[in-house]
Amino acid sequence: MPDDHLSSDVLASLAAGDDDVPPHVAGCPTCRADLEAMRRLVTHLRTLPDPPARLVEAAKTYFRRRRLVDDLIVRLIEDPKLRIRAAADPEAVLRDAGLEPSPELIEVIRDPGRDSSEMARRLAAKSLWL
Amino acid sequence: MYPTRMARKRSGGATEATEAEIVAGCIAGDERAWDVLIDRYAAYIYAVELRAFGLSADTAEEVFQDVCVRLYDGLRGYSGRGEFRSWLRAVVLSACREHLRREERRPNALVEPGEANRIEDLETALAVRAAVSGLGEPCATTISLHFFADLTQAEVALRLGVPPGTVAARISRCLRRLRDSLQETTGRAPSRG
Repeated sequence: MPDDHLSSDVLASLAAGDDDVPPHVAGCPTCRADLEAMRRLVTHLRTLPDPPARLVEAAKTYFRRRRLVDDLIVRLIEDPKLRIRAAADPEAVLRDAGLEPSPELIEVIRDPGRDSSEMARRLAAKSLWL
Repeated sequence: MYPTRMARKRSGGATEATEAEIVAGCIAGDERAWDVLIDRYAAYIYAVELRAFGLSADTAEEVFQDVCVRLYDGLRGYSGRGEFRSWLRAVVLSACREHLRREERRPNALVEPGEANRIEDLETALAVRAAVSGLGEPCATTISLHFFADLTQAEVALRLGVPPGTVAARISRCLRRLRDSLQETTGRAPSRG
């Protein structure tokens, strides 16, 4: 009798919590299958917990810093005066661009025309990560 | 079991960004697009490292960083053909394998995840996780806090400023909606309830 079946809300509540399963479920293949499906859903929900918040934040910040570096490199390639300034005082050029100077960044802006994969490798260092 | 495309409509009618839109936004330098990408896939990336490859938390963080750098550098090269998630999976697996090869000092060693089906489980879980945000509020926040942030129902109630009974009822209702939403997308018959 369909009317005897547990409602989906009750099944969801059972799947999500520790409540005792009503005796009806044991004798009802439909409710048993539905409860099992709901439990699988709950298992999937618990399979991917949030990663550490600071890791997510660091990943987001990386993009912003990397964009600043990329923009600065484009300007360095296009502007000879800026290149001369960067060679003389790389820290100041980096700070003006909103970046905290680091040995890796200084090396990158001193030779902005280097191969992009090489640059990426250098920027993969901790210099742009929180 | 569940849909693999991420484009979908929120219950309010607003359409969420598709993977193609997110990738295009990232390439164009849109910080918000990158934030969405990270919010959507960080849990998956981290879980593959921890659960499929068995990396320690410290190592997983290091590889996570490497993956993000690879994503940034590689997005321009992603053709848009094929599924973004397949491409992402390849990036994550490659970063994990390279790390393990370096650690084991066996540069030519073939390193496979502990069990291939674990990756599939994680991808199914990713599809479920993505479907949660499509439920709209208050379901998305309630489910996220309880299942993803692992807060108890009482803690969720405190966080949201609602009675614990409301949280319990919401979780039941939202789980049902989530199940129905996934069944709808996979073309199964609507469930009762």
